[in-house]
Order: sequence, then structure tokens, then C-alpha cells
Amino acid sequence: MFLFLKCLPRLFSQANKDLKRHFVLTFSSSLSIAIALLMAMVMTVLAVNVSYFTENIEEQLVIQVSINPTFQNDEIENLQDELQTIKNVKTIEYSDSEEELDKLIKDYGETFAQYQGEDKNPLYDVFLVELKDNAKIEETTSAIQKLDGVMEATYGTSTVNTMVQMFSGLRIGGMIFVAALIFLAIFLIRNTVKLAIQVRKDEISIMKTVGATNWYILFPFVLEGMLTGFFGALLPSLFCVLGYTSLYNALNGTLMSDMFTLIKPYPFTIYVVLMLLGIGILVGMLGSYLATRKYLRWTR
Amino acid sequence: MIELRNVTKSYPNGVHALNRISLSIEDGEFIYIIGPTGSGKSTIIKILNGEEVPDSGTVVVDGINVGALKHRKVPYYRRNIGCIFQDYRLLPKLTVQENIAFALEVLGISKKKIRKRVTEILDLVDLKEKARAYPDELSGGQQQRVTIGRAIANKPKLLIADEPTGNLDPEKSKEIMELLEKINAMGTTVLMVTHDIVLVEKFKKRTVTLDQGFVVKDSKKGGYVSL
Repeated sequence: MFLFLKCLPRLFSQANKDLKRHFVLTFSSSLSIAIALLMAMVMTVLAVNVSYFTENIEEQLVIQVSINPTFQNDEIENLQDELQTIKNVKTIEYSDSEEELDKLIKDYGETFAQYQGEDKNPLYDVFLVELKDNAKIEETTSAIQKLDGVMEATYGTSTVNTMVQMFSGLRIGGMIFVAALIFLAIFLIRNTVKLAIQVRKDEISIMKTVGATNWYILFPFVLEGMLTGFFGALLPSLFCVLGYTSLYNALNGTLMSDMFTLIKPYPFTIYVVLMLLGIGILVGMLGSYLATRKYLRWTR
Repeated sequence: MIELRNVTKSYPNGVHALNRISLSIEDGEFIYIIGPTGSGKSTIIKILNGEEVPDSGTVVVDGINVGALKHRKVPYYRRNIGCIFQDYRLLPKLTVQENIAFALEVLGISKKKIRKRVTEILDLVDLKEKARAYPDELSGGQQQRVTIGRAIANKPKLLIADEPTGNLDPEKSKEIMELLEKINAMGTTVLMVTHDIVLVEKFKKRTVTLDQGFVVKDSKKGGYVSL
């Protein structure tokens, strides 16, 4: 360990020298990594936002259970107890027909005010049921439908449902894409470092002859790979911070409707940048390790 | 002290490089290994410096069983052994003194100690005035002296020389031999693989003759004897 610290400046200068020696090579592989990470960044930002949308939408998912208007208060309470026994049910909120009408007027305008007043109100008293797991919304709704005294059980529209499913598909697709890009970046760095090793082959063989330990030989290459990855991550990071922030400001924080609220750029972009730098460095480390492993193995 | 006992080594391509070789070399000895191409000379070197593992038999160098060494330990073992080659293997972009210092830097020795040791070595190999020259500015003999300097920089117990005079004319070869004798006189065991019959005759040392992986002659008196 002590030896390690003592050698550190020398190893760093070695890596630096190497980087300069094949600057073009390093630059091109940094650039390729930058492009790969840029795409990965866009996909990540998209995926995270989509999952944020989904969460928002899912939070708004409520089953509206219309109650038979002939039911009396104690029967309504019984029904509430029955609803409570259904597995997936999280909360139940009672809202009578007048409250429902008020909501309608508030949301859609005064035209509905004509229905105000005794006997004119066409709405039912309802239970608003929230679920623990929104994915099972259909089963739960049909279970509620079968209960005695339930006129109707509905949840939003089926479009919401397909949208949620589409979003989750998009999320998974995005993840696979990002994984593929990271794999590509590892491959690129591996090749860069392999070439760097070729250049220094004589030096390495002499180092081995005089008894340099493997890590001493390996370290500058790993460092080089890490730096390449780091440089590659800088460009997409910059794009992420500036691009996303200006996009957010331009769109006023929402996409098309209030349902799609974008994530606030701060601290979200910082997390993405940290992730990019982390991936860049890690990918560089892994790539150069893979490249050096074969060359530095003792042939015995 | 080097002890080879019944060492056998064959390569995947079916060549039996060494056949039950037994050999013991005392500390401070100077020994030639001679023999035709393919007689197993290089294999002995590779086994001694830890590059190859014998198929059977044991190789003990200075109390270390070389064949059983773990990969991780090989570099540390290597530090006990200096190697010089026919083709010098100097780094072209480093000067003479940097080339010698390189071998010490790699081991994490402090700069002050390195400077001191490099001066000592330049003195020993008689290249003081060439300290700042690059290898391509030197003659073959001078380059070989730098290699020797680099090999002994870390004060190894054993110096292995693989045809050190292979590319040199007789005059320069004599120079190298005298340098090796000087190093040997300082207590380093020297094992030299050579083709050069003239040298073996002139500087008489213990001579081991190999042929097709067998020791066919081990003459303490030295000198080349035709088979």
C-alpha cells in the first residue's frame, strides 16, 4: 500500500503521457463514448420522465362506485365494510350526490348548475376507491361490480390503462437500449486500450523482466481508460444540464397537458450527470481491465 | 544456490525440451550452458526466471520452489534474477541512465537511492560519459553493457545471460565477458547461455552441454569438447 502511494505520481504521469501519445485515438474513442452516452442520457431522461408521468396518472386512478339510490344509510355502511374486505383496496372515500355535482360544476362549468336542487340531481352517491396496486385495477373493479347495491363501478377510461401499459413498455425498451449502449462503450474503450498496450509492448515486457508487479503495469492503462470514459461523459453531461433545463423552461414544465408534468431540472439533472460520469468512469475501468488482462497474464 | 532435480518440460506441440535434467549450481559460480539449437537452453532460462513451469521435477532457486510459485508472487521472485538478452531490449526513447533507472523505478525505490545506484552502475559498466546518450547512439557492445547495468541494478543474486555476445564481434565480446567476470567476482552467480565456442575456450568455466533435452556433459574444468 505504501509502495502504491509512492508510485502514484509516476503512474499518473505515465497515463498522462500515454493519453498525449495517442491523442487522436483517445479523442475519437472519447467522442464515440460521448455519442453513446448522449443517447443513453436522452433515453434515461425520457424513461425517468415517462415513469414520472405514469406515477402521476396512477395516483389519479380511482374507482368510482355508484351506490344504489334506494339504499339507506346503514346499508351504505355495510357496503363500505364489504368493500374494505376486498384485498387490493387502499382507501375508501364516501361522496354523496351533491358533492359530486359540485365537483362537476367546478370542473366543467356552470351549465351543470341547472341540476342543482332536490330531485333534480341525476347523480348517484359514490364511493371513491383507491387501490394498492393499480395494475390489478380491472380485477378489482369487476369484484366490486358483483357486490350487492353497486349500480356501477368504473375507473377513468381504458385509454388511461393502455397508456400506462405503453409507458411501462417504453421504460423497459429504454433500459435495454441504454444497456446496449453501455456495452458498446465498454467495447470501444477496450479497443483503445488494446492499441495503447500494443504501442508499449516492449516496455511492458521489460517491466515484467525486472519484476514489476502486475498492478504497477496495469494501473496507468486502467487510469487511461477511466479518463477516456470521463472525458466521454463530459459532453452528454453538459447537454443534459443545459438542454433539459432550457427544454423545461420552454415548455413551462409540462408536456401538452397538466397530466404530463416534467421533472424539475434541479436536482434531477445533477443526478443524471453523476450517473453519466459514474458510468463513463466505470465503463473505462472495465474496458481497460478487459484489454490488459490478456496481455499481462503470466504465461505459465 | 540453484538446484534442478529431474526436470522435464515438453511443449504442447510435442517437443520435449528438457528430459529429466538434474543440475546444481553453487552461489557465486560462473557457468556456461552450451548446445545446438533446440537443445533446451532457452527452456532452462524460462524455467529459472519463472516464465515456464516444469512438467515434473523441482526447481529450487535460493530456497524458493519456482515451479510452485503463485502468479502473484512471480514478479517478486523475478527481482532476484537479472536477465540480459542477445537483442538488448532497451527502451529507445530513454537515455542510458533513464533505462537503468527505469528498472529501479518500477520497484518503487526512492529517487535519491535510484540516482546513487545509477551512478554506481554507470561506473561499473564504464559508461559514465554516455549517461545522457540514447541507445541508438551507442555501439552494440555499449548497448549490451547498458542491458547488463539494468539487469544488475537491483543487485540480483543470479544473472542470466542469453547469448549476450551473439551480435558482437570478438573484441566487444571479450569486453562483455570481462564485465561479467567482474560482476561474478562481486558475488553474483552468472549463468550464461552461448554459442560462442571461442569464448568458452578462452574464458574457461564450468560448462554444461545440452543436447535434445539431456545433459550430455558437465565439465568442471570447462572448455568446449566436441561430442
